[in-house]
Amino acid sequence: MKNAVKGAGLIVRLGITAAAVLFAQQVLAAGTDAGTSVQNQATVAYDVGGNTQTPIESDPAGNSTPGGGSPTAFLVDRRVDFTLVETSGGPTTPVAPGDSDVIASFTLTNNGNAIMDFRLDVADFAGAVFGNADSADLANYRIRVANGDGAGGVPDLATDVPFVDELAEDGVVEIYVFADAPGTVSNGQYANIQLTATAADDANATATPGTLDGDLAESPGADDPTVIESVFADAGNDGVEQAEDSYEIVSAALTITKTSAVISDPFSSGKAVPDAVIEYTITIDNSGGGSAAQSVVVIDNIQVADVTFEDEAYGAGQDVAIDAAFCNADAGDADTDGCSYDAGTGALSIAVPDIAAGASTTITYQVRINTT
Amino acid sequence: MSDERIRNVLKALAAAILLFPAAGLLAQEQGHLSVKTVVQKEQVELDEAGNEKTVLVDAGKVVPGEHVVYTITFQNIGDEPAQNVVITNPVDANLTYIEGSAFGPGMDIQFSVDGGKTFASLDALTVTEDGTQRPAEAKDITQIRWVMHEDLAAGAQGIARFAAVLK
Repeated sequence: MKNAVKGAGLIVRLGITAAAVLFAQQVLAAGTDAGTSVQNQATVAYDVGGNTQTPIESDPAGNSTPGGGSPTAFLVDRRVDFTLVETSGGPTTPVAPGDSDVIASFTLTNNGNAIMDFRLDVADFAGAVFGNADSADLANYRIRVANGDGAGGVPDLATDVPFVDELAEDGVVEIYVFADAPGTVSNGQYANIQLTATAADDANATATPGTLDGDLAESPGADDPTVIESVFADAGNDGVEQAEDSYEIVSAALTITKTSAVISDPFSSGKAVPDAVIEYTITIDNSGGGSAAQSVVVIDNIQVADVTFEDEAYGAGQDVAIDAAFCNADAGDADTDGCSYDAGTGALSIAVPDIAAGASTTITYQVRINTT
Repeated sequence: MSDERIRNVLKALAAAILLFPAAGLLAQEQGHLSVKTVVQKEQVELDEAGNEKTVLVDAGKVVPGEHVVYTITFQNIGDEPAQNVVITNPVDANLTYIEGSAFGPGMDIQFSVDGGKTFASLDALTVTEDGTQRPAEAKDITQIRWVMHEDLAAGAQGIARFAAVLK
């Protein structure tokens, strides 16, 4: 707008800016940044008696002096809006009894108009998750949020922080919950957990990387134009979001059965008389298990006072049958095939190959009833 | 007046102007109008009968997506009528004008989409985007202008108003 000051026939043209914007704004999908001062100032030009007057700018309280008014301003407050979801969307995280540092992952997205921290807490959850009733508890929960130095995207347990730090507007971050499974949990149980994220920020919205800011509260009552206050626009309008995950305990579940039968006797009577040969059958069944049974060793004690282990019952060097294979039960397992027999104590030790989930293994060996 | 005298008057005038503080480069004397701008939000309240009514309250916590209403009141505090009264108001970059919300009894309302260089009614304005011209929309508006049809009598008051959404 042009303006004129008259004097001695000289016209001086002066430009007048009608409003000042104090901040250069980058408006993201989340909206105008919290803390922005939005300003407005009107300018009124007019004549009196045919003479152009100096325009007058507005003021929130009224102004009648050219150049004497201030813009009318309001402060943009924080619109807190974020989501927390379990990342995989459904399948449970499998864990075996005794496992350590098993990971459940969650995704937090900041849909608000301010850079914010989020305080994270995890606890056992007694309700059902993904249709699984809660029947076990894991232990030693640790929350970590990757800051970029973890290998393969997984956070570094030693150096990463347990809270979301200065998450940008429209920012997305992965949260990892590490846990250990006690040895006492069993196949088919579910351990459910709940992660809680609470919105946090420094009162003046200044950046404080590395430090968890205080929880935000929605300010009741009249607005304080000098303070950035918060409006909660998240689900539930409370600045808190929760998500659950479920760990499935997966383990072998062995059932062991032992039976005996008379294979032969001097009288062909089928009775257990001296010099009769008895065959023992041991069945190890993992049909109810969720994972393979490994490092299985069967130890049986032969009553040497009454019976004698029948050497090579199934052929040369074949003392014990394990499904379709055989092993040689020699003293101290000198041939390292996994079987050993101590004739003095009667201890028979048989190493069994891994039994897959749903499978079973049958072991047989023979003894002869002593005649004296 | 001789050229030299004119130059001397100009120098004296320039010196006089420089003596004023920077913010008061213009004449510091009070003008004939008092101009006030307030910003408010709409709020729904219940009246005595329990019916909903919309009132304007001071703009308190404003967050993206909310509407604000600016009301400009101008009063002639002088003894003579004010003529050719024109109110010009820029729209802050963080606000989007709400189409149809500009209000001003006895005034023509016009808009600018080029930073205040030209003004016209909204449907007469066009914008060039990516090399093609298209009709201007509310989001393109950079200034709003109200032009009074008549003089503003001594002691009289005028009012102009518009609403915008905080981006």
